[in-house]
This record gives sequence, structure tokens and C-alpha cells, in this order.
Amino acid sequence: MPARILVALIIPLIFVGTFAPMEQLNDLIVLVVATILGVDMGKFDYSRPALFIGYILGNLFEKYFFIAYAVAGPLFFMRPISLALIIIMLGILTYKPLKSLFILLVRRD
Amino acid sequence: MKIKGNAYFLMLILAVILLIIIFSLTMEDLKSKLLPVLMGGGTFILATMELVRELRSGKTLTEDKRTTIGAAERRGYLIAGMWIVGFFLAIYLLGFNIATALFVLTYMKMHNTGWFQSITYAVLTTAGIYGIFQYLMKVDLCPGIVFTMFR
Repeated sequence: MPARILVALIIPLIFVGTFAPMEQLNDLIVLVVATILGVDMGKFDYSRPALFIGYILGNLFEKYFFIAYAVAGPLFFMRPISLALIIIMLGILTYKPLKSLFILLVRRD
Repeated sequence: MKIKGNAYFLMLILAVILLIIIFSLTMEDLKSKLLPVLMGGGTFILATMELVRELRSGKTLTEDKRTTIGAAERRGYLIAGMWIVGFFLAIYLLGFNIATALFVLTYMKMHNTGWFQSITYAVLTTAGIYGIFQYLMKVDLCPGIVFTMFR
């Protein structure tokens, strides 16, 4: 289907879909602002999925953070499963820099 | 040292995060301030690292790609933005049904579609939205201030 038809059909559906749950025009203002933000983020290479995931998971994070804090205190993350997850996360984050560092050191020798 | 737009943006993020952290620290309850301080602290560290990298290297994250927007591209974004904002204003003034019909008709007409096809799509889209949302789902689609004014 040509883009001109898709755009003409999808944009009204997006607007109605945004308006329908709460029936508030303010939701449409948020939609317009989010559209501009999304386009600009894409343009300047900011991660839209990261923002989206943060927005979706933020609520859950806050909820379970407080539950964990209430149950096990401020050091709730020092339990085996939490520690394992933290180690995996750190491993993923530091894998590339450590690999480059290792390659650099090997080449130097 | 030439400071680029990205660095200014990072400085803005740092300033906002700093304000959030300072404001959070004034809260009495540890439970209230813990999360903003924690998240703010993490963001502050990451933004500082990025800012340092940005200032040191003198090039932005996206320098390899395209950071400058050409005039034609800017015009394209502006036109797309105007369609979106225009549609919103039409909904606000004329209501969903008329705005949808107008939007589909003008958009398709402006993009070299024939009158028959444009009118058909406009009518079908409006009827579809009216039928699904207003008739079946009983959503009170905004009638527009122009029409509510004369009620």
C-alpha cells in the first residue's frame, strides 16, 4: 500500500486510539509532544527504545524497589540472585571495553 | 575547544539531574528520597562520563553519521509536524469526525491522489472510526469547540 494512503489512515487511528481510553484532549497534546520528541530523538541518534523501556518499566521498578527495600532493607541487592543478576549485567556492560583493553595489551606485548 | 550542541544538551541534563538530587535530599523520609537520589546519581555519573568523552574527543556521538539537518530535510520535518499539529487543531475545533474526513481528504489530495480515491478513503476512514469507536465502543469522541459553542 502506498505511503500516502497508509499515513492518511494510520494518523487518525493513532489520534483516536490515544483519545479513546480517557476521552481527554490533553492526551492528544501529549501525543503531539511525544511525536516531536520521538522524531528529534531519532534524528539526533538518541535511543528511543531505551526511553520507551524506561517509561514502561519505571513504574514496575519503583514498585518492586520499595517492596524489596521494605522486605530486606537497603542491602536487598546483596542476596544471591540479585548479585548474580548484577554480575551478569556488569559483564554485559564491560565485555566490549574489557575485550578491547585485552586486545590492546596483547598487541603491546 | 569547540563545544557542540550535544555537550550543551548534556550540561542541561546534568543541571536538571543536580536539581532533582538536591531537591530529593531535602525530603525527610528516606523512602521518598532514595529512588530519585539513586536514579539521579546513576544518570549524573553516566551524563558526566559522556560529557567528558564529548569534550575530550571534540566530536559528538553521532558525528560519524549525520548531525546536521539539510534545508530540504528540515522542510520535510516541518511539513510533517504541521500536518500533525494541524490535525490536532482540527480535532479541537471541528471534532474527530470532520477532522478525520478533512485530514484524509486533504492529505491524499496533496499527495497526488485523485478526487474519487481521496473522497472514498476519507468517507471510509471516518465511517470506520465513527462505527468502531463512537457506535460500538461508545467512546464520546470530541465534537469540537465550534459545534459545542452553538449548542
